[in-house]
Amino acid sequence: MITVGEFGLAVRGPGVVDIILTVSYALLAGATTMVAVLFLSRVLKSWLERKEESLRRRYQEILNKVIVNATFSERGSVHPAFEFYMAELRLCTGNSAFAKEILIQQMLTLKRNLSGNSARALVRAYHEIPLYPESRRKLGSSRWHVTATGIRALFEMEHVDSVEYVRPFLHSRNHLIRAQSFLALTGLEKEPLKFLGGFRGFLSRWIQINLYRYLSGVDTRRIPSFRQWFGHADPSVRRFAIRMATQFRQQDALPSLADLLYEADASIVGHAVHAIGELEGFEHRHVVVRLLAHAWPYPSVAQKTLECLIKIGDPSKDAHRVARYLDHPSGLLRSAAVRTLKAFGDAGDEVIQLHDCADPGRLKDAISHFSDPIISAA
Amino acid sequence: MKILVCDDDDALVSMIRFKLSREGLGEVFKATDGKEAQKLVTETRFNLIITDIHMPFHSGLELTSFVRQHLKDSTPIIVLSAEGLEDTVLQAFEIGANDFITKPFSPTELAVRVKRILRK
Repeated sequence: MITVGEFGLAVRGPGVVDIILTVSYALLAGATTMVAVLFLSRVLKSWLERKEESLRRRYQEILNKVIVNATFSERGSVHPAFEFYMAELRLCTGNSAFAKEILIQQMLTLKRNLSGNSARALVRAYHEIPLYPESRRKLGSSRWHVTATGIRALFEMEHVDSVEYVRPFLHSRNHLIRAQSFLALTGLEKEPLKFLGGFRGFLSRWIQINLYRYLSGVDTRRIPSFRQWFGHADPSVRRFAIRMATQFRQQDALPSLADLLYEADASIVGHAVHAIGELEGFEHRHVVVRLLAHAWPYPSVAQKTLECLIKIGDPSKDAHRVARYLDHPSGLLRSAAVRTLKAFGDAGDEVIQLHDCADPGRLKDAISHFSDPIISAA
Repeated sequence: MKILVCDDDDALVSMIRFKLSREGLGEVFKATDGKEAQKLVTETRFNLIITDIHMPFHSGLELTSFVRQHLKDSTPIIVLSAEGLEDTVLQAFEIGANDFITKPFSPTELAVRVKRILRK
């Protein structure tokens, strides 16, 4: 309501003033509450940081003793001092999930840098306290990074009894959780990669690299025979199995690799022929030579076949078969053929000299391309 | 004996300090980055330096090079690294490191190597 004042000025009625005052009070109260909340959250955060720091220091003191002292007797029974340290750690953590989480992090950080008895002492401590229920609890989190951390801890701390808790994550929609569970199951299952048989899905290069990295560090007796997955339903698993059979030099995979040369999938054939070359499967040379005769329309397969023949080819018998590729429309294949023939030595040189090329200029280019010092060094 | 341990991983430095002190190998100092390490080696004469390769500001290799070329000091240096690549190991020895330990490592093995170097 607007009225005329003493000096004829329009003034606002009490209703409007009340509303303005109420809004101002509300804003003031809101701002004060926000400041108080911010202040309290800062206080809480700094308190938590201080608590974390103090817990870390305390844990570190105990863990140093666990790691450094001769914790176990030769027969593997627990040293009395170890029990005492475990009791100390249990006392420090109490029932607090926060304190347990800090301890797990601290143990993982240390374990990453340690090997031998010291690393084993940390693993044993994780089992004895016990901290695995805390890691298992994280598997139920809705936040992917918390779940991944839980899986990681169970794997790093070798908690084999948690295999069944981890298994469902093998088909998680989140690729990082999938990668972690792959690695965890590989490490925790009695037979590494046993789960691969029932795996349905794509095995990314990232997972493959991590699996290889892990397998490179385990006892060679635990490395599975990769030929069992050469017929897997998923091509990514088949390619992985072929690569691993090559990396771990599994000679007994050679007959199965030779069978793969008759596959319809060019990528599998390419991987298989490369593997035969790397594993120096001389007894399968004839199959590789037969493949060369049919690989003309598939440049990638043909290139790998030519490279394979550098390793297992018979110069006197195979040189003229390779020479056919000196006329291939692909420059890469012509160069690959020159490289193979050059590797064959005199027999190869002779074939190049005598080759009746449809386009001598192209052959000359392929030879000069091969003679380039940078390319030949590569 | 004065030993300097340079690593940005506090937990690891603490464990190494504890182990070396327990073995009675002397007083252990720590530096958490390359800058602090360079300052300490310039001010104090150590009997041994143990350094990680990857540290903030200056790497362990830079520190080794600084000690050998700038300070012209022959203090034994052990390089610790998670990177056990042949080239890195060779580079470390080339610029003057006395030993190279790949992480993960055994603290007992580290102590044995430290004792062997200090005895020389």
